[in-house]
Amino acid sequence: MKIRLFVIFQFVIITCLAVEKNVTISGFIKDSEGEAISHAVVAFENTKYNTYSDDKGKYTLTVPKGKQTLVVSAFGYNTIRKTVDLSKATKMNFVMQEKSVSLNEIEVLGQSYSKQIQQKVYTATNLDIQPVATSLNNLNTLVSRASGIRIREEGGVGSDYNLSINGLSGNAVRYFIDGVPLSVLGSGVSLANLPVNVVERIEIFKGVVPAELGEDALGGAINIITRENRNNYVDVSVGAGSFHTYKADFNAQYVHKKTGFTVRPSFGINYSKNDYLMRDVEIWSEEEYKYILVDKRRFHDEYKSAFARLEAGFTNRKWADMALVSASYSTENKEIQTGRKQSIVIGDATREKESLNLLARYSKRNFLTKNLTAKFLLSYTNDHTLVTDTAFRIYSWDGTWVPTSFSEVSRRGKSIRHYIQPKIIFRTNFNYFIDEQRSLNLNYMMNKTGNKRYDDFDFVFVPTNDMLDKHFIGLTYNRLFWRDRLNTSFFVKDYIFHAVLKQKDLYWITGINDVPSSTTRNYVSYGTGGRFTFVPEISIKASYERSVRLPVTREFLGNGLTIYPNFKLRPEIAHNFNFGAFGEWNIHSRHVINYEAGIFVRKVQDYILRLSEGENHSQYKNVAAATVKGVEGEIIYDYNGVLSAKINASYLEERNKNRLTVLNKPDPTYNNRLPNRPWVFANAELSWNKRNPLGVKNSRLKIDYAFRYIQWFYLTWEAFGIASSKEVVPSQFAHDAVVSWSFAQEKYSLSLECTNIFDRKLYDNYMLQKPGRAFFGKFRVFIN
Amino acid sequence: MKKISFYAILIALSLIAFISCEKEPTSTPDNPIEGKHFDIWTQIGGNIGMGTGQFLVKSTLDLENGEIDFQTGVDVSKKINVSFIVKDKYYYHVSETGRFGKYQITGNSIETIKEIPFPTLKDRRHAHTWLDNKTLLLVGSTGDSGKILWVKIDTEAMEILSEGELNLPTPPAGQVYNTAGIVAYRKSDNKIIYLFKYNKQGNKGTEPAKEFYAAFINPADMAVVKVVTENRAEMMASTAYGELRQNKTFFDEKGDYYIACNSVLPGESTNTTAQHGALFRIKNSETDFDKTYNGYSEPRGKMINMLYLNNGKALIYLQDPLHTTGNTVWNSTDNPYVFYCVVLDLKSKTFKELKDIPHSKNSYSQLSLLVGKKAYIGVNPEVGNSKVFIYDTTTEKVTEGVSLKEGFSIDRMVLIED
Repeated sequence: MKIRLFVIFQFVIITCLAVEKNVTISGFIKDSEGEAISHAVVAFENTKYNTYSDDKGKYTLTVPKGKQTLVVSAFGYNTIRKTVDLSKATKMNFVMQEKSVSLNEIEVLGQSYSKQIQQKVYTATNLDIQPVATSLNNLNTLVSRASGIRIREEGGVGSDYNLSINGLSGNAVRYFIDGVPLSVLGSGVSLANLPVNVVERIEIFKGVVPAELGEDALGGAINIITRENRNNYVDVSVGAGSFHTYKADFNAQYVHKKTGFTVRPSFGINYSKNDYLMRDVEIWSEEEYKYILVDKRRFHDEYKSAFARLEAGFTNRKWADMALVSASYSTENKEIQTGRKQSIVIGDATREKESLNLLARYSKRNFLTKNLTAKFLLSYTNDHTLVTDTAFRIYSWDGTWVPTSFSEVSRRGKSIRHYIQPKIIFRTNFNYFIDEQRSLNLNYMMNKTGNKRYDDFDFVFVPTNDMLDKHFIGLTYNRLFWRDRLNTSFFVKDYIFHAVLKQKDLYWITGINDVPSSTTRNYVSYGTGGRFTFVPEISIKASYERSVRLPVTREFLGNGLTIYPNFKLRPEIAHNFNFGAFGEWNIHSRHVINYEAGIFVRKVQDYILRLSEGENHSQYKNVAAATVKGVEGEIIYDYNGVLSAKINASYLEERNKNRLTVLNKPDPTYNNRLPNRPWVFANAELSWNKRNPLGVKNSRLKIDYAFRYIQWFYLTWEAFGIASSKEVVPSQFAHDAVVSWSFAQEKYSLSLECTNIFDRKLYDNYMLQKPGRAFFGKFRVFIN
Repeated sequence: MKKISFYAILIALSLIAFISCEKEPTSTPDNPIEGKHFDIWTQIGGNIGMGTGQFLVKSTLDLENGEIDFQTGVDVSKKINVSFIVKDKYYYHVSETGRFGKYQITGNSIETIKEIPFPTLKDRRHAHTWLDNKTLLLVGSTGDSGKILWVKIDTEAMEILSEGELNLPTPPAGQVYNTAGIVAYRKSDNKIIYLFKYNKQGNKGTEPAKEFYAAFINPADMAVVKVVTENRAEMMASTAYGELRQNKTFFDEKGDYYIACNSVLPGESTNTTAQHGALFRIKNSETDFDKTYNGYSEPRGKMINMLYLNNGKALIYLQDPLHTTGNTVWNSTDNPYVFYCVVLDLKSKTFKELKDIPHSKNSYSQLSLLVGKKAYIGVNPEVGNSKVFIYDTTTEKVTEGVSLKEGFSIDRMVLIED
């Protein structure tokens, strides 16, 4: 032990002494109009020394003394190269000139965002979308390959899915778009169907979630950052693939330079019949008088979605960095195919969603006073879901049906049920730089959601109109020490929950008679984090948050059909701990290794889980305590931008920590691994880039291969029951590959994707088959 | 002489000992569980994770000694749950996937004997009775409770023999049929008795009359020949789940049909689960309630289930928070240990509480069964492990039997052929 401490001490001393031979260069990076440029990369060529400018355009970099080439690059600007001879601390400012956008450059900058996210105090990952947008079919594909992330899909395109971050999933994970809840765009918009072209990058926060995101999250958050740049462009892509799958995305921007008037239209559609082959499904054979196994085409699983948004306003004006209003419309029509089990086949019920959103946002640096950045957002969404469940039929996998006496989904009478959820969100964020080392961030968000239900068919259904108000206040203090080698953050969040309840049906299930019809509750959470950089190759970071997650509308109010409300639901409380190490190692100017490894602990109390209430019904309930512990690691190797390889793996220990059952009796499953959850999974990716292949000038060929492994797991508690009598979700080995070829400096791109290359039976959930081998071709045009 | 006497006594004693030893093994012809065994059911983790409620079954020959651990039980979750019908050596179960199945639990697995399509009735929510050794009748309502349907199944050939709708009186406007009701076959006059009531149709319906009905049905054509009303109680002790999980009725040796009933306690109109019981009967071969008889006319004690003890007495499982805990909290999650057993003399209508048996939780399952002259009663008490108590119907003594390992509760107990 003493020897270990000595070695660590020596290491720190040597590291510190080494720094003494260095000098600091700092300054500001601005555009030709004097506006600060944030996120610009400042790097010394062919060295490991690089950094990024902050929101004020300021950068600081410590490097060895001597003559070197400094490179400054930023998205949408010409790169600056300058030879400098540093012998003492130097201040150097840069003015960058705008230029046309090319996709190659986005890729370079994308890496910088990834590193910037890595430098934050929280455990987080950045995924750049634009460099892979040509070959990317949907955002879920990319997100599911990130370290510590598992997405469990129930079927093909548009199927329901559950995303987990380091073991916590469902509503423990919050989704944002540009810092506001993704639900502003409507409940039908998700990672699975949001147009890829609209998205610049995705930030994944694991465990501890920054207060400025302004909503309650227990296990992490996904923040989708949309494209923002200063140039005009048109980006169109169309694609088609197996199982009658078609997609089209359109995204454009026009900026009138003189006035700053900006228009951004975007549009995306998805369609799939999902008629993939279902293997070894049971159908009844009258001839053989028994159930037999056959392969049949999946049916009644058509999925259609469309998203359109028009954003207009002014950018980069003196009075506003951004003042935009937008209107968006989304629709999703889905044929409901299956219940919880593969043997429950649904052939008539449908779900339709339609949402309209009006949104205004404004941001301004030096708002009212110097160094104060203000952002305001006001959004109104009308979200309408319609579930049609009017068939008294039981279907079979061969498409035949027999009459029955109850409906397919609710298993009661026939219904055409409407759910209207108007949502108003107001967010304001103030970020104040006290000085170069300290900043303060205040965030407030109000989320007011209604829940109106009525039925067109079931005349005895009593319409209801409930309302949920949530208010989130977050205050964050950031402090840098020792020239940014130590970065610290402290935050406190306050949540106010207000509900007005009117539905009285099923009172013995919902608990409506046990709670007041109007209730207000207040909860506080807090956290801290820090990152210390020894040398660029080695940094460590740790973070902690006592998280609170309020029940969401669906958990509290149910979905009115298959999920019962639970008005007695309490918030989830969690203690989230993260510790990790990361760094980048430039072995040689052309060989770069980036690594990240972490351990995490999540101690959750009053865990809210969806519990089966028999048949197709379920209800969200607080089920005391669970602990998730795990380790994860990722290594990325890059050879000169030509060849890159990535491998990541996660190991989770999710254990029930209820010593007692709800009836205060010893719980036999105490400390047992939670069932029906994958606990070992890994991803590997290999990517090869070739410029001007086969002599085709200004073109680029990219071949990507991805492998996904998930170890088998038990469907039920592993410690109980003879092993041979238990059901397992088998190990999964999935192989995907994409070939994309872009021409004319990325103006035109073609890609061909093959997923599940070896046509294996894949399951994320018990017996719910995913598609077999599938192909998808995509053509993209990017004009600027 | 003394020597002879000594040897004679020695030989006689040895002979007695030998004969005694011969009678010791349990598998004697008068052993009531010859060729049978007990299956103890438990559910674990029902409160963790979607669809992860896990049903384990442990087989045993002895309910009187030892401890049961479910780590080596059979995990039957993939096939069936506790809403089953058991006969001979098979379990029968209507699944949520629209199948009627016949299963056997062997040493380490559950084997599917046969599954057939069964679209007519929902799982869990149906009543059942055996018309003969192989013909099973299932009865239940449509999804909107607008009709009562029946299905006859040959459980040997595993085929649906016939099905149809009962021509019962149409419910008044704003009312619908109950979900399942209770059905029984009376062999003496070859009649099916179907007990049913009306419910309010959703929140907009009208309140039904405080009464329930018995329909007398010809098994051959399933024609309803007579419907009578019983208004001394509001309902049978089961309206939604039949007798899949517990017995609400029984026939005595004379063929009289006893029915557990309940009514909402006076002044508890908003808390309809607060009820008190009654025990009515329909005498053998008669087609109306015996209006002179109420075997349990106490002001408190909600009838949960019954077990006929074959001696003119019945074991009644009752719920009453006031009697058991001194409070009036009827929510069985907040106040679970409010169930207790009494032995009721059907003739004298007197009863005696089995105070040696601790108060138990569980209002959804039958945890008692009769083997010979012993009633085995499963108890999930507040203090200590779940345990089986043995009530000797001859001596009326209660003794302790097998325990479950700490943390497990008894979810169902059946005697089944090997």
